[in-house]
Amino acid sequence: MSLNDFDAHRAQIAQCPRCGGFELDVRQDGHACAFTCRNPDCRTTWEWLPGTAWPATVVRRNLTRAVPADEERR
Amino acid sequence: MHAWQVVFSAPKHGNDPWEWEDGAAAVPGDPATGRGPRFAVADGATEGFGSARWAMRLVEGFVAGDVELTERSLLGWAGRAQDAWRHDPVLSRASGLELFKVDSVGSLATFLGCELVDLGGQRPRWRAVALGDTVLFHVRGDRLVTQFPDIPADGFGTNPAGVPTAPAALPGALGGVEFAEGDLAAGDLLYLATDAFAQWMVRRDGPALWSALAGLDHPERFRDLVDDRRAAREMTNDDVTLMRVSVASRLPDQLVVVV
Amino acid sequence: MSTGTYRQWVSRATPGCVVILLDRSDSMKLPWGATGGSLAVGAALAVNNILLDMCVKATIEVNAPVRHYFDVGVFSYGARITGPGGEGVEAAFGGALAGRGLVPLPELAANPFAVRDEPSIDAMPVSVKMPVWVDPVHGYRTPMCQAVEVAGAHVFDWAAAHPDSFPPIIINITDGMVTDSPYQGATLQDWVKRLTSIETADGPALFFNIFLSPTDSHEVVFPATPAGLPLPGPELFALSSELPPTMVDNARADGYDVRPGARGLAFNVGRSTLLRVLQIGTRVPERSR
Repeated sequence: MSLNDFDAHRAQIAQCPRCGGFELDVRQDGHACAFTCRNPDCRTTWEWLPGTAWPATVVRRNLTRAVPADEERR
Repeated sequence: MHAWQVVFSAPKHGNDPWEWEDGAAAVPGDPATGRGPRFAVADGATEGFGSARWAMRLVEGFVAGDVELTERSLLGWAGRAQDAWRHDPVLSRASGLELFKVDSVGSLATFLGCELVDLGGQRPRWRAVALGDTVLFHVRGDRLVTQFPDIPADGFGTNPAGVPTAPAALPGALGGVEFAEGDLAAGDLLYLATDAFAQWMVRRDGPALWSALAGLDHPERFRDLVDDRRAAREMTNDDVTLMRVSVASRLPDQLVVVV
Repeated sequence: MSTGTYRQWVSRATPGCVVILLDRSDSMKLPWGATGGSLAVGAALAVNNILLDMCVKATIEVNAPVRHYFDVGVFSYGARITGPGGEGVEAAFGGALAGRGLVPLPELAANPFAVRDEPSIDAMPVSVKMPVWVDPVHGYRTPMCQAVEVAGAHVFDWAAAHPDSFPPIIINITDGMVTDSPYQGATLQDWVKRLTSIETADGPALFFNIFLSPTDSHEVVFPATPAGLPLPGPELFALSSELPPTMVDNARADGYDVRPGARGLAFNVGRSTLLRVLQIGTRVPERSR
């Protein structure tokens, strides 16, 4: 779908239900879409069928990343 | 009617995305039980400890549990969230300084929870509970119908109300929760926004704002908007979260995948 | 001198800078009130307490690094414990941080030189495990001008490197009269003027003074006028910066009656007041959420 045709009342923006990321791999599987989150700390997979509800979403963007202590910028 | 959401977020300028300390969650309605869809946004205290986990526990518990929108039921929900936060397995790796802060300071989060009821019935409506300055905006046809809580632009960032991690402080804090509801129509939009973004929305209320927000279709455009408004000193440099809930007669059959 | 807005929040992109000037002159050996300890012991305890406070504030999650919200320095004047000893000014941290000027908060948090059981600052009958960065020391006179000069050099470099940050905060803890004014031809007033002419885009550096009294004297906290202050109160009042609005709010929230034009001066303070004033004076604007 062209972004110019975007309508908040017709379109589902694909978003990872676990980390809230928008960078996803999508595979068409018949009518269904199969998704894999590209966030290397997440990699959640799920499916969606047009006209059905998006999966339950709890954004854990801030929790999918363990930070080694030496990454603190000095 | 049906409803679905998208969540846009940005950390404080100068911080990395994983340092965002808000929380956001949504579940679709359950036809089997008749329960409507639920949406929640929380904003964890920057000064607190484990604030991201705390905000997440609150929104997760609200959308998943059988909590009712009553003060008594919310007390149970927040108590369970406190248990989960305090007994989080990650704390087994905590240092002395970290455990000191868990016990002496803990955390606090504002909370806005919203449930849509009777979507297939006579009087579809939203019902919401709020503690603190995370705000729900109900918009119809590029016009603001309701803002809840009705905080003036200069009333943001000063209100310390929120859900605390300290069990002893919970009953007092939940004494300050507010409730509201409003009738829904197909085509309506609900926005749940944390304080910095909500404050900017209150200031910019008007058809241009609502038209622009309804048209947001890409996280980069959201971040550009936030960066620009921060640079123009119109928006406070804080973690921001905007959840947009679309209400329509049918669930979407079109998909936007960000590239 | 320009007037600051003093509104910049601390973040890792715009960290703050706190410098404590700690009097280590001979008179700091006097007992402090009824606590039993000396002024030097009480002051060191308060400094260690405020450093711990800052580390705790910047500790945000398990296994996450302490956030670099501040660069912190403690400089002592009076007795020196490093180098040739004698009288002078030196960086006051002990252990791994010895000799260091401004230290980033994560490094400070990782390097107390001891963890000791210390009595609670409020003289409650409990002791708590306290990290220690600074030890009590006393001896010699009070070379305050030189202390301001040394701190100023660090603050100048820091402000140049952090032009968008909240301005540096310099807090002087003393019990006595300056003994080295004029120093290099400049009086204490001149040195402080030089210090507070250092600025960031958010305003000029702030210089606050805390005067300790060994006896239970009448405490004066954040006065808006020097009237009625015994010596050297009026001089310290003149040297002290006006409290910026956010600190006025913090002080009022803490129960102090703060009038317009109030200065960052606390006079004849006891032990618990010292810590409260340090907390108010080091608390820069921050997002509560």
